[in-house]
Amino acid sequence: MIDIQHLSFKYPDHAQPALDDVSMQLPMKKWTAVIGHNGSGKSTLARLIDGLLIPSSGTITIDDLPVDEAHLQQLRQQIGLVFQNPDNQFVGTTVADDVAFGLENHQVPHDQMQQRIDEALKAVGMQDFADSEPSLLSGGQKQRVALAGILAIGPRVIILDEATSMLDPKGRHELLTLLKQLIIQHDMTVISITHDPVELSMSDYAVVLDHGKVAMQGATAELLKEPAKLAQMHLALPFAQRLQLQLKERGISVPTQYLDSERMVEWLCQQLNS
Amino acid sequence: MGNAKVILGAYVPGSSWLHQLDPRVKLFSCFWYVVIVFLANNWLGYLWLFVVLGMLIALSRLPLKLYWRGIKPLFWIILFTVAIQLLFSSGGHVYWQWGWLAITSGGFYQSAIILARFILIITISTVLTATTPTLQLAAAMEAFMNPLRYLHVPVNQIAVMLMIVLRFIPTIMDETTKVMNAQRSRGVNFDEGSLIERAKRLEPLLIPLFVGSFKRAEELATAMEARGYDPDAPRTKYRVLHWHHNDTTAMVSLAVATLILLVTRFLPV
Repeated sequence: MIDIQHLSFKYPDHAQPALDDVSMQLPMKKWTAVIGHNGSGKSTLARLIDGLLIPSSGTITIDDLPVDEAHLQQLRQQIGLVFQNPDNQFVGTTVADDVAFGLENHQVPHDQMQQRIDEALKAVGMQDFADSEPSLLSGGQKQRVALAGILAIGPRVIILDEATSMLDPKGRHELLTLLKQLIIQHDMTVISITHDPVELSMSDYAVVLDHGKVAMQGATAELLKEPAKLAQMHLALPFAQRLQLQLKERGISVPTQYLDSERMVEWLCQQLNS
Repeated sequence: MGNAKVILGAYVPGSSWLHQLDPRVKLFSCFWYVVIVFLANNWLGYLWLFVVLGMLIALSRLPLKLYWRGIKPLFWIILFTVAIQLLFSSGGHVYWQWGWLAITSGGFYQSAIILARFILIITISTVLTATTPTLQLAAAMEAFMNPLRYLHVPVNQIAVMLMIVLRFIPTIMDETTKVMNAQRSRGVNFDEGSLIERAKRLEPLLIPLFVGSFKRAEELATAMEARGYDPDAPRTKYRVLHWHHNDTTAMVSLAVATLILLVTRFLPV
């Protein structure tokens, strides 16, 4: 469990704290979505969990590992971050060199590197691009390489900081499908900081941040039972919930439990047939 | 694809004997060759240097046209320097004189030497860059910087910096094109007007580029830190250079070539 207790953080040049006494428990080996509009403190939270920022007050522990300056080395090993801009996190001059960058930092012996690079690239389906230069890759491919760089280290937690927001729909879909697969294969924990309703609907657990505070948290299915509340906070809803809301507005009674798009289709078919 | 060309520099992929040599050997030999060009003191010495260069070109298995392309951009500078030598050097038989300008046999001799040195040095550099990928050249440079570690020069950090520079050249080129197009669509004309007017027009190009690059730098620094980069910590290396039998052969050949050149210095020609 990622346990966050009374976490606060203020940027030096801001009047308002970015996060204000935030507490939450995020389950391990699950997909957690952190949503909220711009300036709600989402990205700050991601950087605090990875120890890239030091909190003003409060604590974070990942299972038994406290997030503080003394454990940075271990933290970097356990947590991988994929950032928003595909270009600004690509360090190597070729795909293989980029994956190697993290391995070099973690002082992985040279004789293990090639195998780990090959495996990681294979896992994200980029094995044919090992010698390609980044300028020849699409945004989605670059993000997959970023993911490979993380997989090569073998972390337990992957944080996606709006990692799909600069991708086209196809690239986004591919990356998300791949992630879902990897979680199941490797028992990984994913925290996705996102605006994307599709990413929200893929998650098991969700936290809604609003002005540096936790507005809602719980199982995604529970949260999506009350789409009206999310809509009030100007958050984009998954398609099924948007449909649910609009049907309600037109006076059609919709079941109150959470429906994903598939079950929504089933329910609609039943209604139309009866 | 235009950008790919920039980062590859003059490198022409191939599998020749020269392509496969260790980049450290090639970088050192190129440097060494440039030094010994200045040791030649008679036509026999220069002839030998040209023979060596010819053999290297043959070993690179690249078309001669490519080497001519290396000299072409510097054609006017070479011509200018040769002309200066020709007109201002004195000594020997005077063929033509006008005021203090004179064409003498000494001038001919001097300008011929300058011309030969230019061609030799430029072409040997082309041999190096055409047969060695930029990445390998950077690795070779890093290897040569290694002893500086003992003088507390941050060799590791310089190596990472070098890698980032190589990595971001095409990205920044791309961005330059984008910003130029954005400004063009707003009516900026980069190709017209006097030199000063054109220089002034670079302002709306340079400012967004600078701001963008600093933003990039900050994000990249965060991403590198998240991936466990610590400038002061030791790192292992993915690209390791290996010394092969051919590299030894190359070094011995270099020594022999140097020896022959030294012998030509003492031949009475």
